[in-house]
Amino acid sequence: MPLPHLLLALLAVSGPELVAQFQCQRCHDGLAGAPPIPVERHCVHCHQEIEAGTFDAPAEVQAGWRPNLVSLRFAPDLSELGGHLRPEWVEGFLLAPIDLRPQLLATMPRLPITPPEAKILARHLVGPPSVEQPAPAPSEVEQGRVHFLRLGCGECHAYSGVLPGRGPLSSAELLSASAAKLLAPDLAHTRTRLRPEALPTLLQTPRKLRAKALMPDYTLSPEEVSALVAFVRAAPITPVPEAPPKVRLPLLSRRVSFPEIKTKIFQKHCRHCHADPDKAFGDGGPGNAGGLGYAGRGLSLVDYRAVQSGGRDDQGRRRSIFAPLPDGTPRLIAHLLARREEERGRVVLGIVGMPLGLPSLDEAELQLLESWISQGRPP
Amino acid sequence: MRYLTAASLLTAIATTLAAPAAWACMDFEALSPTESSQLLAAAEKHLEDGQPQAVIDLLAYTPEMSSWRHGNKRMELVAIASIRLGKVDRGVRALRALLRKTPDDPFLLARLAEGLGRSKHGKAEALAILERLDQQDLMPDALGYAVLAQLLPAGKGATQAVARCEQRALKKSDCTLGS
Repeated sequence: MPLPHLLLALLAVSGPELVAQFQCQRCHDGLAGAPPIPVERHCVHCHQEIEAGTFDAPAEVQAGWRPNLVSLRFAPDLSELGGHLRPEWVEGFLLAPIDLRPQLLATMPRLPITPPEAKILARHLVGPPSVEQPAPAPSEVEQGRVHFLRLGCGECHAYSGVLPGRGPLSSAELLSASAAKLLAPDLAHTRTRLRPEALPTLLQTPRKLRAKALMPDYTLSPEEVSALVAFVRAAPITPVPEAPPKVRLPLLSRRVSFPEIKTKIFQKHCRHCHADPDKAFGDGGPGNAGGLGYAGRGLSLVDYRAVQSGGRDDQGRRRSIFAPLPDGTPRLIAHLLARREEERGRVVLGIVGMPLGLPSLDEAELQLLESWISQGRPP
Repeated sequence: MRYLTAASLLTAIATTLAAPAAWACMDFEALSPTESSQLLAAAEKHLEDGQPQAVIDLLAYTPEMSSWRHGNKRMELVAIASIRLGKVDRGVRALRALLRKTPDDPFLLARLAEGLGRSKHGKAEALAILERLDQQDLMPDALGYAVLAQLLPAGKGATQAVARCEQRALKKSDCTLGS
């Protein structure tokens, strides 16, 4: 028996168990058999209810939250994935998430998942490996490019390395954009992500493959379908130049106080996952009570007392989030810098990037936080 | 009989839904989660403003809280207020009870040390608690450093504790030794 299969057999953990362990249903719908999650713990349902004004909170409170609802308004439905996704790609995506949907602020969070677990989960979600098909003819690829531009596919889809990107959406656009637009994947990944045999159906009659597909039905001719499939499968991809790294600005000379840090950093980026169940709906979030496969860290970032009181390490011992790591960087800052690295496709071993699955702090925000820490964390 | 039971059930549900914010549970009256939160926030503000008696007045005779978390929070606020009103033993006992559930909570430990620091025989334990929190960079607030400074013998780090207190305090006067 090959070693990977032996490992899987030894693990004896099932796909549904892994779905429950990593709480996939915290963001995604369509997971058959997964136990339901209450709305106050479901990132997307909670945001959608607030948007609709139906969440169980005073109307004026919801109105105050609504302008901030730019992320996690939608997440992909995971029903009927088996017909079109490749398990090999899903496995890799679970292990090292990439920015698959450029218009969506959130990305798939980095999970504490092992390679054997990723293999089992991928097989559970999308079934057996796909069948390879011969590469399309170059003439068809060019014809496909013409159809792609004529049909305006780029209105929703990016195609990195093949077509120029349209740049990120503004906050106002993010608030009003449709699910189809926000969830449209970057087609540069299609050749490794989708089963080649599924592509024609996906283009011609998307809802034949998936009842909840968001792709519009364009009633394409067989020739158009064939050319478009060739274009997304085989258009030459030029490596996209890496975005310049965000820099660390010098510390501020002015005094920074906790209320400013609370409003501009903790409330904006951290509090959803590091909440206090005494002061919020839900259980304190995955960063406090545990979730998404991570153990509870007991870390609340809602007020001064909580922030100074730290969280728990892997052994459950309490530790400061400001204690310097061997290179002198405070632990909190190291997690925020790790997220910047993750956005550039690099994983920092032993440090999970924060905010988990969301954009890293901008340069001014990090400067503010580092200044406050260097000033002795005044109230 | 079946219709009678169903009617009783419906009446009970309707009564419950129409009830004011306070919840009736068996023979006990309990505050709703929103009422509990508001009450606790107000009490916490009184404590921050240096009005421990107002905390006792607000929380001592209210109905049960709706959740154990809110109940614990009330116990914590009353315990700290008691210590600051001179009922040190009562406050220390309550904080020790809370710490049995979360033995490493830095805030509760700092407040326990505050209480022990005011007691006859607890100063050594208070000093040990605060020195440990300081070493672990887990001191929850300026007050912890102020108490540490008071407990440390002169020339044994009290000045440093005052300096740290001043970094974390809204007013430097909060850190004056002997205050």
